[in-house]
Amino acid sequence: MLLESLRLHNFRQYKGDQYITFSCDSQKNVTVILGDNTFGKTTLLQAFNWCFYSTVMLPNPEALLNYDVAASLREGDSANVEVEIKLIHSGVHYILTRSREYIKKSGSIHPLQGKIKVSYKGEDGQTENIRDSKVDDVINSILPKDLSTYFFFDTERVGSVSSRKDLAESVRGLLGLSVLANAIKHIGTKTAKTSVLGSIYGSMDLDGDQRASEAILKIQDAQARREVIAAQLENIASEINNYDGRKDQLDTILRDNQTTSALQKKKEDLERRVAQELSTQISTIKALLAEYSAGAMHFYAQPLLRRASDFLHEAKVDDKGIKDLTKATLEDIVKRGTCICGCELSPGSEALAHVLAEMQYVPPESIGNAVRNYRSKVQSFGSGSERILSSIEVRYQELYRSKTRVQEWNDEIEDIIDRIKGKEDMKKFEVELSDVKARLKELNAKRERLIRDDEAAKNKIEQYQKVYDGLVAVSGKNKSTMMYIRYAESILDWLVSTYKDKEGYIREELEEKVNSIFERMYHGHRRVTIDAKYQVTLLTTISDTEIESGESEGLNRVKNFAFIAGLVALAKEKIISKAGEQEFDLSSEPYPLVMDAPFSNADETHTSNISKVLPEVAEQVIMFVMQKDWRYAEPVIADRVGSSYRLLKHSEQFSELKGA
Amino acid sequence: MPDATNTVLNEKKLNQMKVEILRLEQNNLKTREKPDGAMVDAIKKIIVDESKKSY
Repeated sequence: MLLESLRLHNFRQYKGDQYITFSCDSQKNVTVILGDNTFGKTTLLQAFNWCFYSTVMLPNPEALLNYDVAASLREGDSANVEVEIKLIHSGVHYILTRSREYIKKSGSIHPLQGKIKVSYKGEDGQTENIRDSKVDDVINSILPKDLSTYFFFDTERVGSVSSRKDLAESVRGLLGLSVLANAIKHIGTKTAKTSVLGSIYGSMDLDGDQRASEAILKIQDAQARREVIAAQLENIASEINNYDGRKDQLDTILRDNQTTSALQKKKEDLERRVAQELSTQISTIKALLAEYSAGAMHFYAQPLLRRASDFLHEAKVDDKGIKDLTKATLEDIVKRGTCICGCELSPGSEALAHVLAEMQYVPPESIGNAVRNYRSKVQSFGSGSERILSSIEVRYQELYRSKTRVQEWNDEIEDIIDRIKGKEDMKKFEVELSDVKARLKELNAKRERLIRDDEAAKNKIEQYQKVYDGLVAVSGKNKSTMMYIRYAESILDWLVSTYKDKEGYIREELEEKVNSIFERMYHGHRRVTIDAKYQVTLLTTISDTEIESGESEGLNRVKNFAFIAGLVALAKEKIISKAGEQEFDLSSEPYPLVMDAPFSNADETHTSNISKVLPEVAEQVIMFVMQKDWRYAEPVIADRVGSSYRLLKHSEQFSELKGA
Repeated sequence: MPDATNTVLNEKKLNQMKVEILRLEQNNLKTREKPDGAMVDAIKKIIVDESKKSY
């Protein structure tokens, strides 16, 4: 497909009629439209989408009529929005014209039903209109809507083309595999009544042959079982593939972060030790306080007691008296008249004289006894104070050492935190790896079971097929039917093997082309891989090992372009399927690339590289570019530019296209 | 009793069927004109008609 021209009429800020003629020259296949932000570049891209598919990815998509025109409408007046695209597809000149009328009613602008007209130039040069009922089919045949996002490419609004979920289907469609896939689906199986094989089997005349009927039922059951198994196996293979991929990633992460993991473990160990030590400190402090409470009085009284003892030691104190004996006790004995030893204490007796003499050695006449008692008590009072002091000292030293240890551990923890800062928690990866391994084991076991079941079902089919063939081949009609079945089965086998061959070839070719283009666009050392679902991954080599690399916005942009350019380049090539002497071209038509802000977020080297590569691989390139990016693109692309325009912004409601 | 499993297929017819089926699919992929049921009927017709031809 080549785009020849675009005409806009009152479409958003493009007031009145405005035209772009695209370059269709194979040597100068680039058309450039220069304009800064808000000048209407994205609107131009959306004009393509609207004209082809009646969809617009813009704010307020219903409001397509130019604001100035809308504002000038009087009550009951109407105005038309129109986009017309002229193009060449498969050698035929087409004109697509989509229009929509807007009317002012009750002070507001209302859109009416839109119209689409498609016409083409017949072989006689006359313009023929496509019937309304066929218009959508024709547009889809020119550029299927699901592929359009690759060719009407909104750079800033497409995050990553190469990781889209519908990518595999789109790539298959673009590269011709959908033809084979659809044929495989339609020929189908014996069990699917709505397939070719099912339909032919259903027309078999069994003449009431019960055994043949039973045989076909058995075959169909077994076939259905095989299909269920095949679907399960496909899911399992996909799951195993995903888990294998994740396992590789986890192995890599854990291998690359062994030091982090060790440090993580050490940190956890230190944190445990700090917690235990702090707990021990609390116990020690409690014990120390208990001892202090019990022994402080004894300890602090020691200096005073020592001074009192020294004083009493120097004082001359007669200690002839009997301990704890007082004068009142002796007076009471005298008054009683009998000593405790039984002697009579009569006046003038020797016994009375002894008792009276004893009174001189007891308080208050003598304090000898009291001093003696006091010394004895002081001795016992002070006996534990040394032990308490010693115990408190020991505990204090323990606490000091413990706090030093905690401080050292905390310092070490801080150091580890600094070293592993920003690195991920390895433990969660270890747990995940363990889960992934367990899941892989389960899946592999399940796959083996299913493969055994499938083999059994296959044997069953072969067994009953022989029975069935022998029974139904008796009738002439069935002979013909059997012939059709053989042809259908043979075609199906061929389609399946061709599909596998072509798909493998296409993926390899695509990867090679994308890498080749990526190398030319990217000024660094990275490589891309494309998996079975056409998902693209960037790889970088570190120490002879390829690992998945991170993607900046700019790098992602280059990857997208390399992927799309690879697709476009491959779509240009013939993909031939051979059927005996006959050849069938599976490949699709080459497509143009229409891109909004292709160099957004790309640095000047990438801009320059992309500018050089795209015109070489694409049939036609139409790009809406900001002036600042054009400075870097122009030196390398100028020779390929066949048509250029500049956007002039007169107001928010009016932009104008000027041929440069 | 004829053994259908030993039916010999005509290579020329077979290849013609393959090409016609692919052409039909390719065309329908572009136009989306025929639903699956119609495509099944059309493919079945290609097989039946072609196998009846004599070259």
